[in-house]
Parts: sequence; C-alpha cells; structure tokens
Amino acid sequence: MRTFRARLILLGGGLAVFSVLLTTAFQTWHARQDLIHATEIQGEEIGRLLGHGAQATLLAESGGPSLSIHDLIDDLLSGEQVQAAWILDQDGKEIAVGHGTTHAAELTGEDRARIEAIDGMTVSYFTETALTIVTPSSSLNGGGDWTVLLRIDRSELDSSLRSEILIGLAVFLVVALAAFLLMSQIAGWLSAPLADITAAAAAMETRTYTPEMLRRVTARKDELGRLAETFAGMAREVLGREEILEGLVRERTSELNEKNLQLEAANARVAEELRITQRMQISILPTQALEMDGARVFARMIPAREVGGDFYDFMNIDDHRIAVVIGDVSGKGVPAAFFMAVARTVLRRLALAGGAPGETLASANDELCEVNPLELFVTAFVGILDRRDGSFVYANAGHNPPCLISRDGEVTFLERTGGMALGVMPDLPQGERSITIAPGEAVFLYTDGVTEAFDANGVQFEEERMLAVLKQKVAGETLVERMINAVERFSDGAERSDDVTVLSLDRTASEAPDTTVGAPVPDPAAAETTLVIIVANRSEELGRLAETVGRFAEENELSPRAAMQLDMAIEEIVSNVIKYGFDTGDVREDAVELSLKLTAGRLAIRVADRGRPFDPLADAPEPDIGASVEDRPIGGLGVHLVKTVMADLRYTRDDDRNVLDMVLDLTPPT
Amino acid sequence: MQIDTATHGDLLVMAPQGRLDSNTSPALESTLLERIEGGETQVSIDFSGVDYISSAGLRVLLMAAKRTGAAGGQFSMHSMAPEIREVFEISGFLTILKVHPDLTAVLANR
Repeated sequence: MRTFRARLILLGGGLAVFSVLLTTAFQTWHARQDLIHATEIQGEEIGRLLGHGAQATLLAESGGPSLSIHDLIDDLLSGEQVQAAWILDQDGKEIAVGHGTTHAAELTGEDRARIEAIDGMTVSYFTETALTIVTPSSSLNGGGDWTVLLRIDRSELDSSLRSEILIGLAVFLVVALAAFLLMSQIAGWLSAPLADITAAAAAMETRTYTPEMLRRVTARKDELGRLAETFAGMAREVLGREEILEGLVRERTSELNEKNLQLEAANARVAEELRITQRMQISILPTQALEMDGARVFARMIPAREVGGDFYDFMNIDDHRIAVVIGDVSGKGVPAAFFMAVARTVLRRLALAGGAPGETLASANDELCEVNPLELFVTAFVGILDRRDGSFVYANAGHNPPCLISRDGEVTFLERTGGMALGVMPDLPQGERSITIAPGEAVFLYTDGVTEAFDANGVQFEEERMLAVLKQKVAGETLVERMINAVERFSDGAERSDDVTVLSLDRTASEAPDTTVGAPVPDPAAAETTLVIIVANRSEELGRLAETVGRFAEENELSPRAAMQLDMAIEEIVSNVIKYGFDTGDVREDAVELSLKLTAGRLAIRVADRGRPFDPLADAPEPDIGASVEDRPIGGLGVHLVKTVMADLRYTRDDDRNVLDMVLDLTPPT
Repeated sequence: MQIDTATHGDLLVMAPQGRLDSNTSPALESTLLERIEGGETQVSIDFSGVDYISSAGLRVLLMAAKRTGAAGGQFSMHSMAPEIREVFEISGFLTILKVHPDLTAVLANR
C-alpha cells in the first residue's frame, strides 16, 4: 500500500500547501497595500498640516505672531522619515522647500508631471530610494490651492514589508509541515485496512492466513469493513474446501499405495510362480547326455521369458534301440507348461513300451485328446534308432522336420510323415518313415524357437542361419552348444519370446573309421572345450570378443602378461580377417570361430574363418623392426607381434576355412 | 576412450585410459595428431592407465613419433607396465622410441 499511501500524502499535502501558499501571498500583498495606504494617509495629514501651517504663517506675517514656514518644515524634517518637503502654490511655484542634510532637494520631471496632474486627490509613487506623496492643501483663505510634496525614505517601509513577507513564509512553512504530517496520519489511517487485506490475501497464497489478520478491518462499519468481511468469508470457505480436498487426496494416496503394494506382491508372486513352473519344466527333461556305443544324444532347452511348452526326451528302449522325442505345445504360460508335462509323460511311457513311432504318436494323441479342456495341441516328433544297423524309424506329428547331416556337411530335411499335431482330434492315423544314419552322420531335432528367434531389429534367425551352423560338420555337444550360442548371440538384446530347443543324435564310428571322405572338422574344443565363440565379420564384434576373452582369462587366472598376449593375438588375427578377409558388404554371422582350450601350462587357440584364403605366416610381410623412426612403415606389425608371442603357430586351409592354430605358453618367462 | 591431458611448460602429457586397441586407437590418433599439428611437438605419453595395447595402438604412437620428429620436436613415453613394455620390445619400438620410467625422468631428459 505504499503507493496508495504516498499518493494520498502527496495529494492532500500538496493541496494544503498550495492553498496556504495562495493565502499567504494574498495576505502579504494585502499588507503591502495597507502599508502604502497608511503612509499615504500619513503623508496627506502632514501635507495638510504643512499647508495650513504655511497659510497661518502668511496670515501671521500680516499681524499675528510670527511663525516661519521654514520652522514648520524643519520640524517635520527632524524626524528621519521625511527626507524632503515642498510647498507649491497653484502655479507650481515653490513657496517653501526643506530638506535634510543627506538629501538633495530637487523636483524631478515626474514630480512636476504628478503635481500638474493632481486633481484634489493624494497620490503616491515609488522611486528608487523613496516614496513620494503629492497631496493638495486647500487654502483656508480661499486664495487658491497649494500642493505639498513629501519625499519619504522607503527603507523603513521596505523593512516593514520584508518582515511581513518573512512572517508569511514562516506561517506557510509551519502550516505546510503540519499539513503533511496530518495527511500522512490520514493516509496511514485510510490505507491500513487495505494493507491488512492485502497481507491476508498474500497469507492465503502461502497458507498462513488466520482470521485474526483481518479483525481490525472487519470491526469497521464502512465499505472496507464490508470488503474485509466478504474476504474473510471467502477465505473460510476456500480453506475449508482445501482441507477437505487434501484429506481426500491423502486418503486416495494411501489407498493407492496400498493397492500398489498389493499389486507388487501379486506380481512378485506370479513371477515367482512362473519361475518355479519354468524350473519344474526344465527339471523333468533329461539333463545327462546319452552316450552309448555307436550313438550319442545331446539336447538343450533355453526357456522363454514367459513359460513356453517345448520339451525333448531321449531314452534307451532296450539294449540296442534309442528313442528321441521333441515336442512343442501351442500357446504359452502355465497351461502350455502343464500340457507339456502331460504330453511328455504320455510320450515317454508309450515310447518306453517299445511301440513303433507312428503307433506311439497315435496313442498319445488319443490320450491327450481326453485331457485337453483348453484345446491346446502339441507338435511332436518321435524317432527310434537301432544302434546296430543305423536304421532310424520316425513319425512326425506336425513338427518342424529334423535335419540329417551327412559326414561332408550336407544337410537334408527328413521327409514329413503326414501326421497331424496331437490333441486336436482323436483316432487319427500317424504315418512312419525310415532312413539309415551312417556312422559320422547326425540327426538334428529342433523347435521353431530356433528358426523363429528374433534379433533386436525384429529379423528372424530362419533356416538359413541354422543350416550355416549345421554345415560346420560338428556333432554332439559341440553342435548343440554352437546352435544355442548362435541363436543367443543373434537374439542378444531382444526378448526371447519362445523356448529354444535343440537335440542332436549322431552315430559315432564304432566300426572301422571311414577316412576316405571328409571326417568332421577336428574341433580342438570337442573334448575339452573351454570356450567357443562365433563372431560375424563386423568390427563391432571385436569389443564383444575381447570382453569374452578377458573374462575367460580372468576366470582361468591367466597372468596379466598372458592375458594381454592372448587378447592381442586374437585382436590382431580377427581384425585382419574382418578387415581384409571378405568382400565389402559380404557380412556373415559365422565368419570367424574362435576356440580356446586350456591345458596345464598351455593355451591352444584356434581361429577358423570363412574369409578368402590367407596364410598370415607366409603371406604377411615381415616388418623391419630395426628401422629408424623415419624409415619404419606405419602398420604391418600385428602378425609379427602374434608370431613373436606365440610358442607355436600352424596354418591350414580346410575346405573353405582358414584355420590358424596357436599355442600360448603360460609358464612365466625366466 | 578417456584421455587425460596435462602440460608441463611446453611438454604435452597425454594419458590414455584402458585399452589401446583397434576400436579405441582412432580416438587417441585424432586427439594426439591434432595437438601436434597445432604446434605442440614436445609430447610424452603416460602409459600408467593403459592395460592393453595392440598393433593399432602402436601404429598411432609411431605416427606421433614421426610427426613430432618432422616438426623438430621430441616424443617419448613413460610409466609403462611390464607386459605393455614387452609388446614395445618385440615390435622393435624400444630401439626407436624413448621410454622413461616416469614423468620426472621425462622432464629431466629434455
């Protein structure tokens, strides 16, 4: 309210000061007029006295006592006030002149003009130093009118005027001060209620308002009092409403919190139950590999984030027959997991009973149709291998056709047998087919979780990538690991939407090994694989490779020196392959396969790549390590470093792969 | 890649952190060569934070040595772990590039 108050003070005080100023000015002017007028009257009196005195003197000259007119003037001049005096006859002739010692007595032109213009009235006028009064003096004897002219010192008059003005100014100052003080009081009194209301409004905003703040104003009976009362009423209502609202918000918030907690708990329970289901699902599948004379089976399942319905199984039916089973229940979640458990149990029981695969599937179908309220179905494949002659009888109920991998890496899909998925409709026949698996050959079973795995960009793994792994001519556990590895790497970063299940059944060469055609690629990892990594020919893969190798070095407690040499050798060789091994744009997911095998004191490293033929030992130029800084070419060092660090290096060209075998001596240097 | 940089008078000391491999070396290359081209030809590389070097890293150091030499400057390295030093040794770099035990030695040998 400072502005309002200040304005009130300025306006009221200003008005008061202006009126006092006007009054004082008028008073002063008026006092001046009065003073002049009084002087004139006095002058008139003196003039009249002088005139009469002079006439009396003239009369006395003619008989009466003698009184000189000059004496009269001298008398007059003895007072300081009158400087000079003239008595003139009707013709303007000087009858008598008197003046004090300090003043010359001469009539000015103005004096003459005033005297001539005199018209029975007294006039007065200022000159620089004096007030001159001209007054008529009627003669007593009727002998014509005289004129008396008096010069009066104006200094006294001026000082009187000055003191008049000073008094006026003093009065003005006192009154003005009083006016401002009074106005400031009035302004304060007027604006205080407004200040109170404003403070109350501000307090409303900060929520510190109390009705006390307005009590002074509401006590008033005027418009401001009514305004304050209205405000107080509104404030009461708003505060009340806010309180109710806040209460409601608090209530709802706590309700929500509670609901959230309940939801979280429920969520956690569901997640835990799903985890348990997943664990149970895996636990009912065989984990141990089956390794018999002449044949072996390896399998793995990676469950989806949600519980899926994949399963596999393998078992010895009798002394020479092995059954393999793979299945995929439609749908996901607990129902699928439950149905999977039932299907797997039914199929196991029937397979162990020793029936033909077609019969097994047909019977399983009938049993499953009876206990299928949710109308799920399951695709399944059952095959029975006779280890003695390699005959493999199989039946396929709507499942992805498995692959037969020949010894030279050729892959063919097993023909379908026309069977319908299990659980759809009872009493359906299931066909059968039979093939022979030669020693060194393998059958690979999988679910669509392999071929339909997605990467982060939504691209599918598809048969093509699966075939690329199958053609690597590896079998058994290595094949299973490589396939799982390839799918996991491919779908890295994407959510796994389906279980991934693979099974490898291969006939080992128990009879005389056939060495005439391509035996499987001797994989250094086959027996003691400690690490196998497959990378694409993209430079971004190097980081992942170094990370994995670093972890391997750490886990196996390699010395910093050995770890660094391993790291370096792999980076040098693999980066060369990525940079120079392929045509631009020819990106392959399985470009390089790295395997590490750790034995006492030695680390065997194999880098096998599908790039163009290149023997780093023969084809890489040897750098001149003795050259000076200026002569030393930049680059060409990598292979040299690897050669120096490795205890043994061998290069072979194997069909379409460059294979570099290296041995790193782990014993510390002496 | 993190590269710490300090100057001691007209000596530029660069301390790359972590791995000097084919992925990270281009970062050191651009930073280092830019400063050399900018006239800072007295350079020492602090290896105390480097735990791995491959030929890609060696390449950058050789380039830096050549550039500083051509500009009449000096290039050296210091505070090297033994396994890193070994890589320099087998590459023949120790005979052509100066390696000091620490920064004090670098400053003393100027």
